[in-house]
Amino acid sequence: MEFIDALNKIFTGNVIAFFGASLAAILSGMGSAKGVGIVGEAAAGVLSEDPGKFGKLLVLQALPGTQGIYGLLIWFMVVVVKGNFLFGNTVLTVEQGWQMFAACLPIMIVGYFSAIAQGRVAAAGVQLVAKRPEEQSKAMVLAAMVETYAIFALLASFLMVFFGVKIG
Amino acid sequence: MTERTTAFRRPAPDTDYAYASSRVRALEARVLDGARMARLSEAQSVDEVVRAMAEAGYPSGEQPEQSLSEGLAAQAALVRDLFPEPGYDEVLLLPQDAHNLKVILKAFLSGQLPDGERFVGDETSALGEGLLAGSGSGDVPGDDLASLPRFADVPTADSLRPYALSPSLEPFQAVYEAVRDRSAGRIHPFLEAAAVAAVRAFAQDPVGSVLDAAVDRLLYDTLSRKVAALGNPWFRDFQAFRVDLLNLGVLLRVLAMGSPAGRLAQELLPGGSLPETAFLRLEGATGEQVADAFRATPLAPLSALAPEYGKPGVAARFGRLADDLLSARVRTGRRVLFGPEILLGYLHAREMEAKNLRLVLTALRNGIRSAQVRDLLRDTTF
Repeated sequence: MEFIDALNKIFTGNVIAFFGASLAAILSGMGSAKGVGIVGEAAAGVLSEDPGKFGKLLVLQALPGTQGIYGLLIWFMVVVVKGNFLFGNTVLTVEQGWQMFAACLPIMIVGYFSAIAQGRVAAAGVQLVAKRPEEQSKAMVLAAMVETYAIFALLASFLMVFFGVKIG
Repeated sequence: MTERTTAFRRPAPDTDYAYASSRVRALEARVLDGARMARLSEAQSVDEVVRAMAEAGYPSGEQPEQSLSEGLAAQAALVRDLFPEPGYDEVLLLPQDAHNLKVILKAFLSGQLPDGERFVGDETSALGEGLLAGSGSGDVPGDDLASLPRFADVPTADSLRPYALSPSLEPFQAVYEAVRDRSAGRIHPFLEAAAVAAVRAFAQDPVGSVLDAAVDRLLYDTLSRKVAALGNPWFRDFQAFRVDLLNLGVLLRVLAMGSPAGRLAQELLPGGSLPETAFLRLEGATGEQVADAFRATPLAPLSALAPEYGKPGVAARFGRLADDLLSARVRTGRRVLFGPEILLGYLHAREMEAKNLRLVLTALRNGIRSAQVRDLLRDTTF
């Protein structure tokens, strides 16, 4: 019983909500870093042979970076807007904390995997542009298709944070 | 020098190849593809070919063939440097070392330079003489380099160097000295073993081709083990298929030349997807029997040429078809985002391109019709 009491003291509603918000920012940021890194390496390979393509490739490299922004957005919604943890003294119940955590899950998981997948598609686009620079727009459309699912996840997290968790 | 790869190891993740693969994709844009080669086959002068070579990234020079060799070597060196994991450079360079070893051994054993010029007055060098005469215990060497008979009347390394290939895993001078001094442990284990195997084979049958075959057998055995150890299934299958193609070529050549019994077993290479027995049981067979034997295998398009092999032009068609079958395998392997397949495929494409350019140059110099050239052009569309 003492152990469970200790756990209850540590894992308060606020702490669980913080975990959710942090993981949303961390995992989607990690995915974006990996995705942007893959495209960056691929772009560097092409630029070694053809430095003139820098502008076209930079756009492709930026695409997998959005998931990191979405993760940070949800972190901001949870910590600043909805929870008002920074400027107020909101106290969440454990149940509310878990609700916040669950609300962060979509962008946490989908953000991580979609950023890596988008990085691979954008890297394929880099290789396409290496051979056919005029096809850059098609390469961007292909990579942007992956973005759809990150946006769905952002929407799901956003709606749950704002309308799924009742505070006060 | 010790072997770099022996046991199977986990291949690097494909993202390790992101930079290398993309750089090679950018380089691929400069390869002369099928359509450009077909146009080039209509060239009226060597200058047109030289211009196309410059566009494809070959260095300029007075001798186009020399520029081709230098350009190809430069591309190969670039790609070898791009591999992010060890082992591939060894697999790609070992054939160069094997060639250099053959140059040295043939000169030591036959008393001839590769261009036929003799550097000793006798019919054979001292070693060759000893081996042929069966003069005592030293006539058939043992299992290591130190057991080789002492070489006498050997040419200098400098006189052989023009026939050597560079770069290689081992410096030419190191191989030359290790073989001359019969000094073990100084060069790659494959080269030591190949030197011993070649001298042993030559002692029993003093023909240059026997020496070549002994080195090649050991080379392909080593290559197949090392390629398998790299852990890339596509490269393993590609290497095995390449050996199958070479073995079919050996079989047809031996049959066409009516070579003595046993020659086929000496020249067949290990490491193919088809066992050597599949070829050995066809010793003395007719062309139709060979075609039937391989009808249900990936070699079917090639074996169909067996009945007419030996007629003028068929060997050249065989060579082109074999290269195109390899290119088809390369195309399959290149359907990955990142990986060694892209780098190896690019090297293959450049080799095919160089073959095509040599063909066009040869045709121009000898007044061969462009239609004939087009029939022999390798597929370089990837």
